[in-house]
Amino acid sequence: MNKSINISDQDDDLTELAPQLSKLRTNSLFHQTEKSHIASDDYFDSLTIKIQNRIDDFEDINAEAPVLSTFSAYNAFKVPADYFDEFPTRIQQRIIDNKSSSTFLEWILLLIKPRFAVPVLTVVFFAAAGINFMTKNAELPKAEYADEISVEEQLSTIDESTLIESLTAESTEDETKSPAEEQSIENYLLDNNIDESSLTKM
Amino acid sequence: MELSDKELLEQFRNEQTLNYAFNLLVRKYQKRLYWHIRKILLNHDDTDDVLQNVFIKVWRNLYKFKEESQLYTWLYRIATNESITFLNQKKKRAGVPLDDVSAFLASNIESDSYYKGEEIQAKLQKAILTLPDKQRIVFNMKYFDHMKYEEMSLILETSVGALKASYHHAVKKIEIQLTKH
Repeated sequence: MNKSINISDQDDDLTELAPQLSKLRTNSLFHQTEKSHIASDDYFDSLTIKIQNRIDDFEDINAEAPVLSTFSAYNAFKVPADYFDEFPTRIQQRIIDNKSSSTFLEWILLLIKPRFAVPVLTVVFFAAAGINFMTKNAELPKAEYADEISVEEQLSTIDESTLIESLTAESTEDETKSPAEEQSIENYLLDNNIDESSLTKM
Repeated sequence: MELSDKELLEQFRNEQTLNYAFNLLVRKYQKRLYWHIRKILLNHDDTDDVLQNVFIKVWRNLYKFKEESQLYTWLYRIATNESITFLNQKKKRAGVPLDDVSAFLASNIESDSYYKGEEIQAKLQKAILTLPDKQRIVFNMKYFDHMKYEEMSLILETSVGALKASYHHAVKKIEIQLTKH
């Protein structure tokens, strides 16, 4: 018995015959919906170009190097199992390890650069000089103090009257001018036409 | 969920999502960069070292990335430069002249426990090793990765014309090596 197959009726048949199967069809991995993975729009366009490029490459090789063209571009190298699964984790770990060591190294390298080394060394030099200076000054007062004590001790042993005589004798000497000084004063008075008598009145 | 490069960069610039964004970036690009480096250095352990160095460099400099080029172009460039630097340092330590590559690197293949190729593949790899470093990189990017010359030009900072010429010469040299043995 021949049955005419009406294609448009096939969907309705499936719904009636196998409703569960009919529902699964809409959830097919290959059914294009917004949520399921779809090939990018230019995939098939670029695929055509890629295939054409491969054909062109093969024909070039075949023309120029017929022996080479018999070799397949077979990848004879292999990779350890799980290499690509583990590699990203290894890289992340290496980056973390590099971060901690590079911070210290960067600090050292920064210090030895001339633009930082010169001011740093200058500060260190002045600091050292300052410390040295302060250390020396700290020692001096002790020595002077010691001298003062000894002077005071000496003075305490001298009679007061002797001291007064000594001091008055010094002041008298100070009042006496040297001949050179007197001459220079006279010259000044003459040059400026100053009367000596006017000075005594003041 | 894989974010676009633009979204990754936006999240990276936010202190709160910085580490998360970087983790996603590593997951997004680790394989591509690994195989790019591996084809240069051949040895897995060396590749692992360089790949780590690349991502550490990315971590330190991503905030400076100005988006004048694509992110993957920038990453590839770092990976290429780090690989060449590593290779030169290794050759210096081994006392190998910088332009004498093939024997030195062939020993890398044989000593690598992560090489599974058959004899015929080893023959191809040894033929590739007769190329100078930069030409070898050009060949790998074109032959194995099928990169466009324009992309390679941005990564290697070499003109498209120079890259085409370099690849053409590389193919010829390898063909001679394969035909010879």
